[in-house]
Amino acid sequence: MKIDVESRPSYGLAVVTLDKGEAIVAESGSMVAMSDKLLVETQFNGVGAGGLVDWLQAAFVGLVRKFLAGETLFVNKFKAKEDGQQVLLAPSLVGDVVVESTRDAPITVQATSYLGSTPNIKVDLIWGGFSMLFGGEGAFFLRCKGDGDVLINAYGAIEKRQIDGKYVVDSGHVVAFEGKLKYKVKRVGGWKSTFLSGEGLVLEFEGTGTLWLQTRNLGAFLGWITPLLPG
Amino acid sequence: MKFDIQYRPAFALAIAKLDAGETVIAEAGALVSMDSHVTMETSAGKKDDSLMGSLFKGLKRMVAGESFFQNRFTAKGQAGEVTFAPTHAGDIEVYTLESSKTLYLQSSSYVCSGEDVKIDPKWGGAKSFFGGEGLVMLKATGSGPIVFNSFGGIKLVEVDGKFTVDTGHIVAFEDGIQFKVGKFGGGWWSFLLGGEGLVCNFTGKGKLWVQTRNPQAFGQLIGQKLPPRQA
Repeated sequence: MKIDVESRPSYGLAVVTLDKGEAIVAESGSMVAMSDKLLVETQFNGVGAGGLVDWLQAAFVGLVRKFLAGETLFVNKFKAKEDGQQVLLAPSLVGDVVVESTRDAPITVQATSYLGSTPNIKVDLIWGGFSMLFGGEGAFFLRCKGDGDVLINAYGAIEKRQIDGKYVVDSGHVVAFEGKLKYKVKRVGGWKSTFLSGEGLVLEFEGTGTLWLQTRNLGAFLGWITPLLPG
Repeated sequence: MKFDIQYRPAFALAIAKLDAGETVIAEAGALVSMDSHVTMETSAGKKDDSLMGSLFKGLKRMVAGESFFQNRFTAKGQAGEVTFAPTHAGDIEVYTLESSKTLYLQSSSYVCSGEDVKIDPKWGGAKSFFGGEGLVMLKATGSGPIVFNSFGGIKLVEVDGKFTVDTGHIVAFEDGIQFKVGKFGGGWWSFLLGGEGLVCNFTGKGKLWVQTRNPQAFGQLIGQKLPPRQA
């Protein structure tokens, strides 16, 4: 399997090339184009080896993603019947796409930033904490774990930072972080700042690991464009 | 204080590198991330201003279409980094003010500035109101860096003589240039049917920055395609 990302960083497009028997799991609606020797299966994300318990758990994760995280219920699995098959994947928002390995540590992705993953990765839904509800982005994260790669998309460019110690990020700009990093939702500045600064809440990360940030914030963009719309 | 601009031109990110004890002042909501030893304070004026003084400064900013409050980020004890991004897609430019220079800015283009940069509203003349952009521009004086953003890319024009810009495309200009709002083209025919409406006629010698997209035009275009808003 080969995954290349083209048109970076403004309009990231993942070009996935699969050999016979290989597969890629992608967020529903993200398929742009595909070769003809592919088998498409629509399933709940995170279905593991099989079995009823796994299926029920995946169905639950799908439902929560659909109704609470504003994401889609299903994902599509593209499996190659012959060598050299291609699937082109793109997110709905303008911005970058990156491919990251979860072999060393699991990666926790903001629910709206998950674009796809290799089939051996297990995707679990994680509750980000009540305070995340006020952070502007969703309160759910997806934890991607296993021997494979995950496709991550963002609004704007993606700034990848190696953290060693503490680092503060505006909640609307978090894309993903390695499982080794811990975070706390915090106010920035004093109480006066919480209400008046326009910054809302921030996440303070602590530990050693990689952090992915997006250079634009969807909520802020909507605040900017709304007064410019007619009527 | 140094600035590093990344991910140009579509999703530019401004990285401010502060020396120990240095302060950068930013538009409310511009924060993306920062080192944990950088502190943030929210105020309408400077630290030693009286209550009335602060109130007046905040109101002046509001008149110019900026936020009432602004945030002051200070690197405590050691050098530190803060990153900022505007709300919409586009580029970022850094300009260094000296005591002999003045820079005029489209008010929505302000991102952040050094502590010794003074920013005042500047009445653009009644006609600029009809040009679609703000009635009031920002006048930056003092010394130090000022950072501004655009919608789309930024084109630098060295004006020497006369130059005409659509009112929706102005970002900033130096004070060696005067401007007057006028009709596009030779007569009423082009003004009404040329699709350009009002334009800014610049005269003089100095630098002028224009943005490659027009926020109002973008709002009009997508606004027509959105479903009607609920009451």
